[in-house]
Amino acid sequence: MARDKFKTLTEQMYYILLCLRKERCGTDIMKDVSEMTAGRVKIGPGTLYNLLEQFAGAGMIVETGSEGRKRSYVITEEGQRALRAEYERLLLQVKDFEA
Amino acid sequence: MKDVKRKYVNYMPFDYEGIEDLLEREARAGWHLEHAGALFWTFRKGEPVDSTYSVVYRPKVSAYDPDDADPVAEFDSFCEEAGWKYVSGRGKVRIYRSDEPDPVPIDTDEELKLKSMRKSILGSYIVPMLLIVVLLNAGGSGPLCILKRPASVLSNYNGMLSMAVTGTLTLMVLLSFIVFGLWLKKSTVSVRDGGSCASTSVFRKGYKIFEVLILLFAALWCLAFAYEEGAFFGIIGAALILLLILFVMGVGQMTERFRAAGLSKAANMLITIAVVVVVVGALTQLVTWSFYTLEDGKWDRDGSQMIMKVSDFREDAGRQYKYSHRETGTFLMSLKEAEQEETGVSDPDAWLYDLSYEILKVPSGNLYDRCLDQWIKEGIGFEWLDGNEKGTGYREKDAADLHADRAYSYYWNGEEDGTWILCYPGAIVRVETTFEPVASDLEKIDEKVAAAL
Repeated sequence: MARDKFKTLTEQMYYILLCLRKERCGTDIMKDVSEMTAGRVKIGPGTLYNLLEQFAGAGMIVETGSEGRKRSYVITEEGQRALRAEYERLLLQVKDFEA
Repeated sequence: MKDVKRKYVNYMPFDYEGIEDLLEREARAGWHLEHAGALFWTFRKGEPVDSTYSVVYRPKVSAYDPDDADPVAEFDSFCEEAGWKYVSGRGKVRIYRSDEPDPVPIDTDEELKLKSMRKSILGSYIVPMLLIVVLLNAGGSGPLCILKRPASVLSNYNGMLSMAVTGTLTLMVLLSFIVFGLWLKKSTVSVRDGGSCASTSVFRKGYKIFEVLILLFAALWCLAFAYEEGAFFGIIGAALILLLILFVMGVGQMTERFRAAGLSKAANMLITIAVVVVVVGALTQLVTWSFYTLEDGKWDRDGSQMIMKVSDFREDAGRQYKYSHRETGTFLMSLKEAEQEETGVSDPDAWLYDLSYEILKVPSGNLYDRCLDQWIKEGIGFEWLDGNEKGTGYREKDAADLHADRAYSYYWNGEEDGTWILCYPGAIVRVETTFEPVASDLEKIDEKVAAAL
């Protein structure tokens, strides 16, 4: 079944938004996600660039500044809602497994 | 030993695996990609390295737009952070290289990657290639010509091989569309189910075979042109192909240079279109010039080979003529053409006596019927808009007293025009004259032709 855009988040989307709960430079996210997940989740630079563009277009993140070509972002209220919704969906899945 | 080599590289636009495999193979042999051109790619000699290459599709990048420079540079900086360096690219397709062991791929989301590929290829490949296929076939030089004008195309190897080139190219492009569509469908299902894009190696060998066939037919066409029309025209044919190749290579470079120089997208596109129109126009003029040169050079015969002349039909004492005679043939059919044209007349209102005929030898059957159909339809020409209402075109005549099985006479505005088509077993003959036809002309033509066949 096709996923509606951002109605559910892929693992990579989830961790990008998670990282952006604090203001971060876009290119640092790749390293941060890898560290956060002990290397389990890897985000390629092309995917990161495209997802940041899409998140910004959907109002889920906002650019906070730029230094040369490096731009910083932080998550918005809209992004927080999507992240929480995904978190709760994952919790339900865990509960269903444990039941 | 050379430090730089240029290699012909041509893959289907979605075959990123093929491109990556090639570049990695070359890198292991010490040849590193420096520039990806339209047809030829430049490699520079260095140390053998176990590099990883990645072909990335950027649908929003334009080959013409200098304003893409910042987003492109930003994307490149993301890649550099991950150990990928931009090497070369053309329009929406960009090639990156990493020398790190087991680098994180540039695209780790297969759904996004597939979406980018679909948008990039639809925009920058499908539409232009469809245009090329339409132009190839609409201009009367495509493979459909065989159905519409078999007598013109299949009676000489020059025509047959030019159809082979355009036909093979058309088929290759159409098949690659179909293959891309099937690959896209397979990949969409795979990605939706959590997998990765389908392998792009499907049809890779087939595509190469088509390429080889096109080059082979093009080379044979040059040879046929030289054999049938003379070495000079063979050289013209080879020069045309070379010019076309240089043009394809040059246009891409020109567009890139304008873009790098900051020329606006609109200006870049406009200049590119203008250059294409001028060059195609110049090539067309070259073809037309060579055709007229060929036509001018054909008047070198003495008429001794003609099976009928003006004097067989009309009193023509004192008139002077020039003659031409040409024979071509393939394993399917042969065509003998002869022409007698009056010369040396200064009065522009004088009625000149000209006679020409074509004898097409083709086995009876479907091909025979198609050739006859072509000649009959050619007679309609520009008059068709109102010609049929006024009685212009070929009408079948009574062939009971003729050697021919069937005979047709051309009528212009309801009156016979002095052009006939006669059908014999295994041969169709068309005769054109400029003198006023009389009833006995058809019988005389029939006698001459039957004796010659």
